[in-house]
This record gives sequence, C-alpha cells and structure tokens, in this order.
Amino acid sequence: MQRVKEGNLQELATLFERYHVRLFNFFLKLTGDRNLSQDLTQNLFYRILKYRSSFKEGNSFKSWIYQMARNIHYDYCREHQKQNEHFTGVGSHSEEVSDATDAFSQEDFDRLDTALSKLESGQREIIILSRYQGLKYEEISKITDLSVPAIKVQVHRAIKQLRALYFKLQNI
Amino acid sequence: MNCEDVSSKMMDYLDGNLGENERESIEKHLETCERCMDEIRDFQTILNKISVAPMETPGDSLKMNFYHMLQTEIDKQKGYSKPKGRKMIPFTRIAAGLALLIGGTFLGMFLNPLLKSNNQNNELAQLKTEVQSMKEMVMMNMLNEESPSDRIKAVNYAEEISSPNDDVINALVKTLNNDKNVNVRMAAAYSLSKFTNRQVVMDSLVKSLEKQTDPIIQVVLMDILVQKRDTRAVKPMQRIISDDNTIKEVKEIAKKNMQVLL
Repeated sequence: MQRVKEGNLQELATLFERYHVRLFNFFLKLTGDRNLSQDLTQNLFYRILKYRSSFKEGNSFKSWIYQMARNIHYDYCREHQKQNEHFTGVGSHSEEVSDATDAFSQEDFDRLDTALSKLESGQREIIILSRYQGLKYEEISKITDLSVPAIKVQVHRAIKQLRALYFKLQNI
Repeated sequence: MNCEDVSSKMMDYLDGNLGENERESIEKHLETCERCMDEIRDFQTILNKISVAPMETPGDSLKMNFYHMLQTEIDKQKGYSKPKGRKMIPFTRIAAGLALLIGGTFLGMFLNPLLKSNNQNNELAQLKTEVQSMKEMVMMNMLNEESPSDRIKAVNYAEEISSPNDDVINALVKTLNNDKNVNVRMAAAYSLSKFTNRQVVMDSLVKSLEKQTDPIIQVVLMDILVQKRDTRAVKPMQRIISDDNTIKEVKEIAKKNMQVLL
C-alpha cells in the first residue's frame, strides 16, 4: 500500500486481487444483499484510491482496509436509517462448495445466516470479523479500537446469543 | 473452576489457546456439569459451521469496474487529456445514426398498419442484426483509443454483444496479448471469459497463457482455464512453475491449479 501511496497505482491491482473476495463476503454477511455488497466493495476500493495519502507508513494495510470497510457499511446504514432492518436475507450461494462442507446441509448454513441476521449489529459484526473473516483479536482490536479482553468478552457473548437464536430456529 | 470461570475461558478452550493446566481443569469441570457441557458442545457446533461456511464469489462486473476505475485514475495521474471534441465525434455520430435507424424503423412500422406481421418480424430481425454489427463497429473503434480507460470501456462493451463475430473475438484476443496496458489486458481476459463456450476462445486463452509474463494476467487466465477444466492449461502451467522469473505467489497458485486439473 505504501507503494500505491507513493504513486505506483498499479500496485492496487495486487491488493484488489488479494482482498476483494473476502471483503465482498464481509459486506455480504453484514447486509445479506449481493448487489449491495458488490457496490460497497467497489466503493471501498474507490475510497482507498481516493484517500491513499491518508495511509500511514508502517501501519497494517489489512487493519486499514477493514476500518474503511466498517466505515462504508456504517455510512450506508446511517443513510438508510435502518441499521437493523436492512438485512434482506442471503441470496443464492455460489455453486462451488468445497468438500469440507459436505457434513453440513445448505439448510444449516441458511439457518445460521438467518440467526446471524437477527443479532444486534455490533454482535453480528464482531462474529463476522473474528470467525467468518478469521481475523486475530489483535487485528480486530486495531480495527475497532477495543481492547483484546473486551473483544474476547464480546465474541463470547455474541456466540452465546447466536447459539440461542440458531437452536431456536432449529426447533421450529 | 466453577461454571462462570469455564464460561469465560470457553472460547480460548475451543480455539486451543489454553495451557495444559487450564485445559485440564476445564475438562474436569465438564465431566461433572452437564449445563456447561451442553453449552460448549453447541458452541463447537456453531464455530465449526462458521469455519466451513463457503465464501461467495462476487460477479465479474466488480472486477471490471475496479480495473476501469483504476485505469481512469492512472490516466488522470499521467495527465491524459480526455479526448473531447474531435475525437468524440465518430462515436456520437454512430450513436446518432443508430438512433435514427431505430427511430425510422419504428416510425415506419407505426405508420403502416397494413404491414404484415411476417414482414415486421423480418424487419425486426434485420434491425437486430444491424444493431449488432453497429455495436461491433463501435467497439472496434473504441479499441483504438489512446487512453487506456477508453480501451477498457471498449472491452467491457464487447461483453454486451450477445454472440460476437470472430472479428470481435480476435480483437479481444489481440488486446489480451498485445495491449501495452496491463489493466486493459486484464479487462480483455475477463471479457473473453464470458465466451468460453466457443472453442476459438478457449484455444486462444491457452495460447495466451503460454505467452503472458505479467503475474496478475497469468493468475486470471489460469483461473478461467481451470474453471473450465481445460487440461491443455497443464503444459503452460508447468512452464510457469519451472520458470525462474515467475514470482513465488503465482507459482503456488499454478501448483494448486495443477492439482485440480490432474
């Protein structure tokens, strides 16, 4: 990213190839809307390009891009004034599902997505960052400005809540 | 340890972040406490499920738009002046001609109620062909633009042509192999990936992979060919792996792709 900042814009292509799928999925889990998530991802890279000079040398690009992604989602929610209502349900999943998922049915994933969508937005976000996106607590700490112990507590609470919702759905 | 202690350490326990002592005392508690055991089992189920949840793939338009945006910014940086005025005229003219053509045909159809439906169908079909060839011509013209972002636009435009003729395909292949700008080449690769049902496209993608040296293009081409399970990609990929000039990341991707194909 430092090289992008110094004017070598072509380097952004490498960063795009490395990050766009996971950030698309970050937005997708937050919003449940494929088209919207594509727009937000597009928007994200536009901002990176536009605000490249605000990147501080020596900082982690990963944290920076997630911070920006959070802001973009936050802005979107504020504009639409329905932080908890915009979740429209997850669209069709991609056809290619790796072998590891054989043990779980599509129904299971859908139920999990529904449970996730019913969480309060802060809890949803922390689960997405730490479990779906697989970020380390230290990384989340940089992104959210929360201490590592505080994040641990929040993740635990969020999973607990998710568990309640998920198994409630299962028993319907 | 009581239930509260166990609960607070549960995530670390499941993630394998605890030392032996703590792990053992948690397990000791679990042997006697059904409620905690239930909770930890549920947690594990959920965490497992999340960890194998498949990532979804965004549509290609995201990539297209990104590369177009990037190139526009690079052009701006280099101070390309957008060719306004004179250079835009051909395109506007074509568009105006197209509008007249469509307008005229429809007007004709409305003014002549006696026109037989058969005739109408013929005319519509003819109109369709004309629009198609107009699109193809516009796209070829745009490919000669000086500014790379205009050329990307042209390449994107090609995608809109439902079944492009061989000239269009050839122009795209030529762009993929020879355009001096990597982002334009990239856009051409994505555009061509829309037409992989045509043998000639697959042939040229294989050939192109043999020639490409740019890491990003190499990766994209491999992606397309592997997705289509074209085993002819194996040879060029072997060359990529054994080439000392290939960067490490690309070699790794090539190796992974080889496993898929073989």
